[in-house]
Formats: sequence, C-alpha cells, structure tokens
Amino acid sequence: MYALAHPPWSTMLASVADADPPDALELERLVVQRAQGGDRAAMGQLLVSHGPALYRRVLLPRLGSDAAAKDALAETYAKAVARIDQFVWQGAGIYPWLRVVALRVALDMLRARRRVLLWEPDHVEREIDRAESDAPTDQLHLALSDEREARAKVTAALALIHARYAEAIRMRLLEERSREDTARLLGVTPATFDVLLHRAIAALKKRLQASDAPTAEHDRP
Amino acid sequence: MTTPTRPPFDEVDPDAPASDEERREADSLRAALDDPRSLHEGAELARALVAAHVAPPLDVAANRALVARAVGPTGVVVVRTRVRRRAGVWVGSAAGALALAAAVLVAIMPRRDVEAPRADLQPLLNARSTQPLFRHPFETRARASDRIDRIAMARGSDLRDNLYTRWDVR
Amino acid sequence: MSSRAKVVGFVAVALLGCARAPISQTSRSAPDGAVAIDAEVMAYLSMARALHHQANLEEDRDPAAAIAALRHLSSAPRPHAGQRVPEVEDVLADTFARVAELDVRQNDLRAAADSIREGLAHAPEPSYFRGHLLEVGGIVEEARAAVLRDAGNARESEVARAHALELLREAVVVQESVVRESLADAGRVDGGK
Repeated sequence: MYALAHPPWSTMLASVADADPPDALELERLVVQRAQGGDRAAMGQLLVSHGPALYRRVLLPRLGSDAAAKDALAETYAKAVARIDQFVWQGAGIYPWLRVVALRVALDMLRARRRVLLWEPDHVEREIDRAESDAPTDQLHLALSDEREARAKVTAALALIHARYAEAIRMRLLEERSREDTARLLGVTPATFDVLLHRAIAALKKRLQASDAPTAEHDRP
Repeated sequence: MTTPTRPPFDEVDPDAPASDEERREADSLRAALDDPRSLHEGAELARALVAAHVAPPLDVAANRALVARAVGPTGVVVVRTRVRRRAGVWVGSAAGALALAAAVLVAIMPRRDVEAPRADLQPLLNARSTQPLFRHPFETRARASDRIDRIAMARGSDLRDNLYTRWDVR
Repeated sequence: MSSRAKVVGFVAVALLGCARAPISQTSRSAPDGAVAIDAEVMAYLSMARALHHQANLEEDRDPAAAIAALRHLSSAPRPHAGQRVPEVEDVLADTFARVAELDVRQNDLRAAADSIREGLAHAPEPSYFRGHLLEVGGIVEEARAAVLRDAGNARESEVARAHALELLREAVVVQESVVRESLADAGRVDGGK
C-alpha cells in the first residue's frame, strides 16, 4: 500500500483567528486590517462607529459649537483615512488613535480661531501629550474621562466669577430654565436678568482671558 | 482638585443699575442666544459652556455624509474638504449619497423590517471574491477550516452592514 | 496496459485537461457580483464552516466520516441558484481540494482526481484556491506515479511523475501571480495617499 508523505494541511496562507466567536475588539481588529488593506467600506465602518464619540466627547466640548465640531470631524476623518496605515494595533481598539487625530485637529482650530473658550490651545496640547505617552486605554474609559474633564472645566470656569453670575449662567444655560423662570428665581425682572446674564458672560470671558493657571486639575503638567 | 482663587470682585456689582449701553448689549446677547447661527462672542462662549456641560449627540445622517465624503467612491484618495459655513451655520456640500455601506450601531438605529434596498441609499455589499482576505505573509499552519472561518467571519460582518443599511429604509 | 494503469492514466488526462481548459469550458459561470450578502449566503457559509469543523474532529480517527461531511457540503443546494456567488465558489474549490487530500490519504486516487477536477471548475481564474487545487492535483499525480512504480510499471510511472511536475509548476505560477497581485494592490493603496 502506497503511503504518501502528506504535505502539511497548511499551504501558503496566513493563519486566522481560531474558531471561537471573536469578541468586539477582535472584530474591530479584523475591520482595521481590511481598512489598512484599502477596503473603503471597512474604513467607513470604523468612522461611522467612532465618529459620534469623537464629536460629542472630544470636538464639541473643546470647540464649543456644532458647526466647528463638524468641520473638525470632517478634517479628522480625512486625516484618519490618509494615515490609517500608520496605526499599529495595541489591543485597545482604534478609538484612542482616532481621538488623538481629533485632538490635533481641535488644536489647530483653536489656534486659528482666537475665540475665548473653555479650552486653550496649550490645554489641548497637554492632552495630546498625555494621550501619546500613556498606555492605550479603551474607548469607554476615554469617553468617561473626557466627559469628566469637560464638566470639571465648566465647574472651574464658573468658580472664577462672582457667585451670582455663576448662578445666572447655571440656571439659564446649563439647567436650561426659561428667561422668565430664571429671573423670577433670582428675584429680578426679565429685563434685569438680561443685564445680569450679559455681565456674567462678560466677567467669565474676562477671567478666562486673564487666567494663566489651568482651569482643571488635569491641565497641570 | 485645587480650588481656583476667587476674583477680587472688581467686576461691576451684579445688581447695580444698568447703563443704556449695557441694556443694548444685554438685548444683543439675548437675541444671539436665540439664534444658533449668531457669531456673537458672548453667545459663542455661552454655547461652549453648554456644549461642555452636556454635549448633544451627533446627527446620524450628518455623520454618514461626513464619512461618505472622507472615504469617497475611489476609496484610496483622501478628499480634504472644508465645508462652507455662513454665519456660523454648518452647510455641508451637496454631495448626496455616495457608494458606501456604513455599519451603524444598533443602539442608535431603530430596528425596522428588512425591505428591498432603495436606489437612492448606499448600495449593499455584494458577494465577491474572497482572495483579498488571504493576501498577508504566508505561514504554514493554516487549515482549510481556518480559511472557511475567515470567509464566514468577513461576510458575517458584511451581512450585518447590509441589514443595518436596509433597516434605514423607509 | 493493466486496468489499474488505464484508470490512473485517465486520472492524469482528466487532471491535465482541467488544468488547461479555457474558462468557458470549466466555469459554471453566471454574471458575477450581482448578489448581495444576505442571510441565504450566510446560511451556506455557516453550514460550510460547521461541516469543515466536523471534518476537523473526524479526520484523524475516521477520515471517511470527514470526507462524508465535506461531500455533504459539496452536494448541498447552493444559495441564489443560477447566479454565481464568488464566496460559494471559493469555499467549494477549497472543499474539493481538502476532499482530494483526504482521498489520497485513503488511497482512493480516482476519487481524489475527481475531486480536483470538480474543484477546478469552481476556480477558473488564477487565485489562491486554483493554485491550491493544482498543488493537490500534483500530489495526486505524485501518488499515482508511486503506485505505478510499485506495480513495476516504470514507463507509466515516469509519465505520471512528469504530469505531477507540470501541475506543481503550474500551481507555483498561479500562486506567484497571486502574490504579485496582492503586492501590486498594496502599492496602489499607498500611492493613492
């Protein structure tokens, strides 16, 4: 009986993931692989998945307006598509990398816009440095961290101004009470409240412009 | 957290009587807060506070349009676009739907019955050669079942994409 | 010439014939790319996956059971009858190659040759899967050469050996073209940035 020395089952293919159902991170790794291979549907899949978090957690709080945040998101997408081959999978998904791309876009826009906002360019620069030096962390952790940072910025900003101004801003803008309700709760007429709010915003702008110190703990180098 | 230093209260007494100029500026701010397109600096700072406090979610259709513009029909060419803005309003270029099937999180998309795809929406992912799945450097331990696994997993992802695309149909 | 040699001769001709036949004669073709990935396609791929893993579990102890599982796949109804679904074609090409290898292990060279011929019909274009079928076809011919040699038929054995080399060389040509194409694709992606 002839006994053929069989070739190994393998031929000339890369090994693939084992037969167990892959988790979401492994699925994303495969999508990233496809995207890096030029598969534009895979690239689109990554951007559609992560774009909302980039907009809401990274760009909108730092740039302060929907229009600017969408401009920045478009720019982030373009850069991500151009540089996807530079991404190296480190086991935490692609979101941390996309977040740094978005932060850099936000930094460029803050430098160009010269508006008084909660984030100064050097704050964002420090965030980029931190992101690039720290070990990669997962998307949920980053999103929660960004949300906490944003709330902390607001709290720190309001702490810079007179308590009555802070109250006016908090009630009318952050708690979204009506002009009339807010005026009533503060014990003034609506017209007087308009002046109060104007003064509050002016004071905040002045304090943010004058402030050299970081406005949140995480900004400290 | 370090407590920021309170200001020395050199601002105007919050409840001091307002000048005519202050009343005009207050009216201007009130009007600007009611107009999302306004470029009033005070209104912009106010909106920045709101955005940092509770950022609203991104519109799904807007995101898809941005993604489609970035990925584009040719796939590998980066299309750098600056969307035009007028009076603070974001005006996207009138690109319309491009050939891209996007995966959308089920949590965002409402579930709908599967229907035949509409011609004006992104096309579905079609069956195609699996050769591109096997282009990486060769190793010697892959079995036929490993290759079938890879094909099934890759196309399973495509099926999900196609279902989500169909669920957006109305 | 012995009847066994006639059989293995037929095997050789069949294999070489399939390797050289133009696409129109070997392809069960229909317009490509018109089928969307749907539940029907995925059900077939899921079944393919399950049957290949069944074969994994059977092949060491009971190769015949492994072959039966894979033949179940090759004879199962295919999705979108009348339309060419590339994934199904690739899976079938790979399945027939695997069946052929198991047939060789069972010393059933005729069945192995049939499997290769059947598989090549599903992989008419240069691809990894066609290259793999040619590679296994070469191995089948190599086994046939050994059988003929052991039977004392040196001349027929030498012919089979030459056929095996031809198939194996063609497999190398196909796979080299696959590698070149994938490198060229990678270059196109880079150049597009």
